[in-house]
Amino acid sequence: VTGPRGDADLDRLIHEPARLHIVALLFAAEEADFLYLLRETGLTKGNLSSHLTRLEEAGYLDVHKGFVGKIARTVCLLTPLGRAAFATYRAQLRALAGV
Amino acid sequence: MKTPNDAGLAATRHWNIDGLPDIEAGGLLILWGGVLAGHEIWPSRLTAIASGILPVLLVAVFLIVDALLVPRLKRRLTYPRAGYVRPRATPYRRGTAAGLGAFSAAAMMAWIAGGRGLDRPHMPSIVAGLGTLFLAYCGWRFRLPRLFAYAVAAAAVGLALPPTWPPDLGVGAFQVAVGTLLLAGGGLTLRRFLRIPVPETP
Repeated sequence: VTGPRGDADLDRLIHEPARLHIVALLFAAEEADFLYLLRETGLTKGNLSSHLTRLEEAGYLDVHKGFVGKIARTVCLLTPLGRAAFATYRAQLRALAGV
Repeated sequence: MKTPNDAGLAATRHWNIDGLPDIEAGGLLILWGGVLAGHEIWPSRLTAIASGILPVLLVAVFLIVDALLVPRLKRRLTYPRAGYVRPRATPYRRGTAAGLGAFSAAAMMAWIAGGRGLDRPHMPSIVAGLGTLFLAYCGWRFRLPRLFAYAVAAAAVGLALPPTWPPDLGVGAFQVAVGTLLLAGGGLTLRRFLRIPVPETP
């Protein structure tokens, strides 16, 4: 996405509203599980799952699947690449907004 | 959609959803207050040893519980019911926590080693006032109503402390009372939280 001055090449992967929400939530956390992201974003399980897969494929997200007792548990955390990408995205938005 | 600041607040609020942090803080306050209130009756030799070891030991116990036990309990208790999130420990937060821990340990060492070194009659009132303000601030900052209830109760405890008590005993008793309050409040919150049925596997 190019800004009005043509210098804001926003990361399209993060720019999508649902993924932006997910990345913002994970940016503020060391790690979070699927259930927490589901509650906070209000997405459906399938929708959240597909967004997480896209972020994981881009290397922005690490997904660890395991069990606590008999309950399946999926924990997500941003990789250093994902953190850097979101920090860049925020800086670009600030520059665009002039704040 | 949440901004990163909102997301940070949501993570912190979620971390406090189950009452475990209250129980953790309450336990530490009870130990801390017990050491302060009780050191007057120890033999002087024991006091000298305890002044060097106990504060460090208490801070170490708190750090171990905070880093290992609470996250583990949360994974077992909180996750299946409400989801799990561990707020990000930014360098600023780590620095603040380390600074507070070091300051508290140093203050207690000085207090115990100096016998009745901080023998000021208004100390219990000052500590009670600061404790009340801190709880109220946290309640406002994290939008957790139960912290306001703790603040009101802490103010009541502060007002109820007999002014004739020695300052060490007054401060220690305040900390034990507020610690008990946090422990009870955290226990009730946890009990209520555990009644939430575990949803089907995500």
